[in-house]
Amino acid sequence: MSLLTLAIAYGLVGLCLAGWRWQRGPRAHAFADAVLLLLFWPLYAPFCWGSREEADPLARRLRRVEVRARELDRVLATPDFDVDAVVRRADLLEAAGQRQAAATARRALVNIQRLQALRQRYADELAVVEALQHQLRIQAQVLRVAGQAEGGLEDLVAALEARVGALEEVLAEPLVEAGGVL
Amino acid sequence: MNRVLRVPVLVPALAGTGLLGFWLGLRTESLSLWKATLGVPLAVLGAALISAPALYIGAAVVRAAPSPGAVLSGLARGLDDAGLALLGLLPAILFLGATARRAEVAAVVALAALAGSMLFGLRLLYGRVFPTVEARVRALPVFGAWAAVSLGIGLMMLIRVLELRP
Amino acid sequence: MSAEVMITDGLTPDVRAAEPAKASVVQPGPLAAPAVAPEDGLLALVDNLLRGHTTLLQRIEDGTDLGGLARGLVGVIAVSAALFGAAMGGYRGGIQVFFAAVKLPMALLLTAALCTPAFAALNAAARGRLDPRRDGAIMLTSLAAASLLISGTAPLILLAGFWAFDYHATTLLVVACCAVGGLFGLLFFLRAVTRGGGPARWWLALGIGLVFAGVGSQMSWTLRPFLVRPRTMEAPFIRAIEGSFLEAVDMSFDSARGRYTPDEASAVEGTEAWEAPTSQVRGESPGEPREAVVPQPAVDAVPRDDRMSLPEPDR
Repeated sequence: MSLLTLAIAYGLVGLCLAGWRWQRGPRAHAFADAVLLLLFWPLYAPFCWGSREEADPLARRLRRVEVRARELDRVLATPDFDVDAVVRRADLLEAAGQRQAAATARRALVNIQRLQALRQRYADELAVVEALQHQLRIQAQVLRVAGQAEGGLEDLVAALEARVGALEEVLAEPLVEAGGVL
Repeated sequence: MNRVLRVPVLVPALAGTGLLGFWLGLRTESLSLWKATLGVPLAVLGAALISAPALYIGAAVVRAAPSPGAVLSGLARGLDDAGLALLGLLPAILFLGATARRAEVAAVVALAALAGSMLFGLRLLYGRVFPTVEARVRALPVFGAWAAVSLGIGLMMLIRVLELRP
Repeated sequence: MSAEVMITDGLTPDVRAAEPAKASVVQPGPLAAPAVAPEDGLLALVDNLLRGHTTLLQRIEDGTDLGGLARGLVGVIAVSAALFGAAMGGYRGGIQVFFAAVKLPMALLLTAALCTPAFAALNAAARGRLDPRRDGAIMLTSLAAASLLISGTAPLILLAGFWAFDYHATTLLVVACCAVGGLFGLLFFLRAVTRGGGPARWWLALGIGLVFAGVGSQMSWTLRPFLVRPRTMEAPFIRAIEGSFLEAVDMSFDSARGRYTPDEASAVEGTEAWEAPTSQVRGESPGEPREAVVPQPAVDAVPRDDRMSLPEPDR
């Protein structure tokens, strides 16, 4: 396959996508989108078809919570947050007669356990959110097929919003006690 | 089920390696198109199947192994990750191959992409099969050796199947 | 609170709050603070690119109006790269100013277009979720930051032209300017890639860096020339494709060792390699048919700006 053949194939795909965007979608920025699709469609195509998350504030909030949870996971995976290692260090310091250093290490242990408890609470809340999402999907399908579903969808959505709010509260808690040391 | 693309497991692995093989066969006159299209996935999957038990045994010896099921599913996911990486690299491979005057250069680019994808898949496999810091530290020498041997087996199978000559 | 549930063809229903401003049952905490508002205009975007990395990264993370951001970033890349391209073209002057101003943004954006699928795929494999919008936004933002800084060095290239710098010195100056800008963009890219956490971040960054370097080199090679000698009579928009950047580097290594193809050797007087055994002629082994070679113009024609080490014959 020569460069010319590749360029023609690339241009044809770009032309199809540009034409599709010109025909469909909002009129705002249609020309700019079409030109950019024609020239750089592997890069620009995902921007032309908006994700649901951008339009859905609930999904956006859930995503922010997921980012925070991943940060927490990353912190907990580091060697400094290994509970066994911290306990061993505290015991060694105690055995060596360095009581103050040992006390500091044990305070750090309290904070690590607090973080782990927070993570567990988050996991529990997330499981409830996922179950609600699953239930909502099923209810929506039933509604679409059968025309009616048991239980109100609005109640499910409200419950989902409440749970996402609870998730945000869980991860907004201070991660370290005042005066705590890590 | 591959969660990223929502397709059955190993479909990304087969798709990525198959398309790469197809490109290799298309660009290199000395290679049969069908032999290349089928040979690359065969070499990759064959190497993974041959070396899979050794990973579990080695990890178990250093007391870092998860269950055999977890090792197998991690391996399948690692192959899918490598296949996904190859699918993403295809535009770059096509461009670099189409602008090369010599077919050997195009082949080298394609094989380098294959090697890079496999290395990336191995890195992700390592993190998944050994999730804790302690397990990773224990398993690193074993995993490193296993990865090197697996890559070597894959390379030998590729050379045999595609009848490559340096 | 009421909400509408729109049933779509997808598995997940679209959920829209009827009154988004009052939608939350629970007052959002700090994590649900309002997303960063989209910048107004290119100037604000430029300022954020140069100073407010965190703002932009947060906006990309939140997914706020990424389509608008992408259009703005393409505009920034187009304008700033065009400025630097025009400065390079000004070394020769004439039509080359226009050619280079058009080609440099094309080279950058086409390279990004070919590398972004790889970035999205590697990120998807590492994070377990495909998000090409976010990855495309990171790629564009990094390129825009690099282009802005490179365009800031355009006066140096103009100065080199005014002071009649030697062609090779100007080439090195251009490389240095691009290296500085590239480093700025790379630092942003690394920050964005390592920010979200997840496995194999540095492997991913290294992999994408290699892919970008390879594709970018070849794209520049394909779209050359950018910097043209002032005495060049006719500057083409794009030179004829004569193989890849890698092959050109390989050829230069061989030339430096005194190994030439028959075509190159015939253009160089008194070259020993022309008398060398057939097996030392690159690309051939005894008994095999010679690969067809595109005829090379004679060396005493108009000097070629991309020729690296061939000595010019005495006039």
